Amino acid sequence: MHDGSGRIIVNQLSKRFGSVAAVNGLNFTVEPGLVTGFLGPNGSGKTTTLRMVLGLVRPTAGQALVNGAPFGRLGEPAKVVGAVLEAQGFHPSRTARNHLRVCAAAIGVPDQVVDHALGSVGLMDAAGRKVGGFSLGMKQRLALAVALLGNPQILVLDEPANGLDPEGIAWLRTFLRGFAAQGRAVLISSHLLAEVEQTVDNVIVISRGYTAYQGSLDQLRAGQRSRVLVRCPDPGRLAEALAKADVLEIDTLPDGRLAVSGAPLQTVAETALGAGVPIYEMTEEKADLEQVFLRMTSGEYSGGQPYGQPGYGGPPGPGYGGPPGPGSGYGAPPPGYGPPPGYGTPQPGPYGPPQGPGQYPPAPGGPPQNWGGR
Amino acid sequence: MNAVRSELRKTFTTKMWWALLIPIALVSMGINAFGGLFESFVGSAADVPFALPSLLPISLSLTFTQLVVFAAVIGLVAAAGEFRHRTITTTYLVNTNRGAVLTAKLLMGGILGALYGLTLAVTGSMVGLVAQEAKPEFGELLAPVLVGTAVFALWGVIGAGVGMAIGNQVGALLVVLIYLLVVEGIATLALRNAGSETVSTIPSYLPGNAGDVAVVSEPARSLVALVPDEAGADPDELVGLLGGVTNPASTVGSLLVLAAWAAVVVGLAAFFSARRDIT
Repeated sequence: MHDGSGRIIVNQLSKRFGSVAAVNGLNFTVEPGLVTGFLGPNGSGKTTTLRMVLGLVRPTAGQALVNGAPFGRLGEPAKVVGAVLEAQGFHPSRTARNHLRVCAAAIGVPDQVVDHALGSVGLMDAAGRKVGGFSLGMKQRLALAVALLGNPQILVLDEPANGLDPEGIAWLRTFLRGFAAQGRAVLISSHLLAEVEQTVDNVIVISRGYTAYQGSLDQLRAGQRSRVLVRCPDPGRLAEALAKADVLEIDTLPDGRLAVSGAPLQTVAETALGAGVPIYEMTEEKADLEQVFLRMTSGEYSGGQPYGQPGYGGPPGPGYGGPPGPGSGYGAPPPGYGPPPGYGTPQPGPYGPPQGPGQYPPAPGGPPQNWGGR
Repeated sequence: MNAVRSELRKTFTTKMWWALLIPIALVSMGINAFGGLFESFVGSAADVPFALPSLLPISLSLTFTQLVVFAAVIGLVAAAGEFRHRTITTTYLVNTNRGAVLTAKLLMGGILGALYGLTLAVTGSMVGLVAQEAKPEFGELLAPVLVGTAVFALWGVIGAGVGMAIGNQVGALLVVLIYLLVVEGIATLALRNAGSETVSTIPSYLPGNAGDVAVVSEPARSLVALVPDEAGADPDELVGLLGGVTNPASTVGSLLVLAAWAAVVVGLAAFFSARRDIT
């Protein structure tokens, strides 16, 4: 029925709801023994993707394989994959134990497993209570207990941190690390990298239904670059001078500062001196992971950046040197640094088509090969 | 089998199944006290020169026709409540065979319908037997009980099927209730008054009417049989009157019509539930 590999392979997975392309040729792999983070802003297609992997939503194209087979052909799915999804409901007047007994019967595991599962998520004391009176965090734990009933090889969790208090999140982190340490696979989605940063080994970042990054978290960290923020009275002149010195990655922040990438602090300072531009303030800024993540996904709102291209924004366009001011002359503001929607180049909408060539290349025949991933 | 066990637990770990049984029991006891009332009105068997027939079989069969909507509703809620409470996600996660899930739910609808029918029969018979001095023969009573229970079971299946075909509890409830309580009555009236022989026979093929005719057929015929021949009473006329049709089919024929409707609904449920995206 399946190969028992404990691996999820998603291949060119796509889903359209009417005219909306929710997921667009997604590719990624989830490996056993690791916790994989599945990241993207709300509305980027995470939930739809997970539901396709789990056989709840039929893909328009492509396929998702669990243990080498579509989820629907696993035979005993709950013994392969345990899932905690958003919007997975409960009957409010059924008790926690009875909810688990319903599921245990469907899975075909004996009822003793129910109490074991309740214990392992810390709900033993609430077993006889109706789920309608549960907090969001308790419901999350109960959903996890259901997922564990079949003693699965793979855990899939959609935004599990929602509703959990800090203590619950810490508990979940330990739990998932332990689960993966047994050689099993964990796929955990979130819209916040910070939320899962300490839990995951690998990350898959999706934006607007495309894979924006797949690889290890360490690689993502290593790929970061710093930039220099400069406050000066005449940013236009400084930018021109920098451009002459072949420093082309320059952006304007909303507060009027210049953000210069691809040149060390010293070069910027010396160029400014040469151009006679006084400098009021200069800081070197290291992007943290969250900013890297935002940059990769921000196309969702502000028009986008070529992904897979590290750095803060593309080179400024021709005719550079217009009057300084937000959004007026330095090209589109770098997403992730500017205010989100509505700023800079107007866009047709958050789900508009890809903006121009080279931005979201779902290249025919496969994804780009330069993600730095596997 | 696992799916059926799971559905049984789903149903019997919530209150709905017995909450809806209460009105069934109360209404059935009320209606079936009628034989006793009737007897005390015309005088007991001792006061009239001829033996009064037991009215329990006919009152019981009419109770079935009045309460059949409950069978449809419980089957529907048991199946489609999963969409309302969004537990359908979990159900499909632990069992990817949607056909098996649907089968279990249809079976559950049938079981609940039958349970409701039997409850109606037991509570109604208890009151009826106590209330009226004239007692029915066992066979006379058994016929409406069996047929009524079968009709209830079929309506339980239909309710579950509509719920699974539509995939939305409120929407499905509206469809079933509006059809049974409003549409079929109006359609029957319109078709019978259309002025065409052929058209006026159509109502007996509508599911509600077919179920009603099946249940009342036997008791009504045996009641008419008591009337002296010279009065010229037509058994079909009484069955038609009670069932709301002009040309009542036989009990078995009517049951088959209802079963055919159930099959159509099951087909729709199978088609839509296999393709539905659970989002």
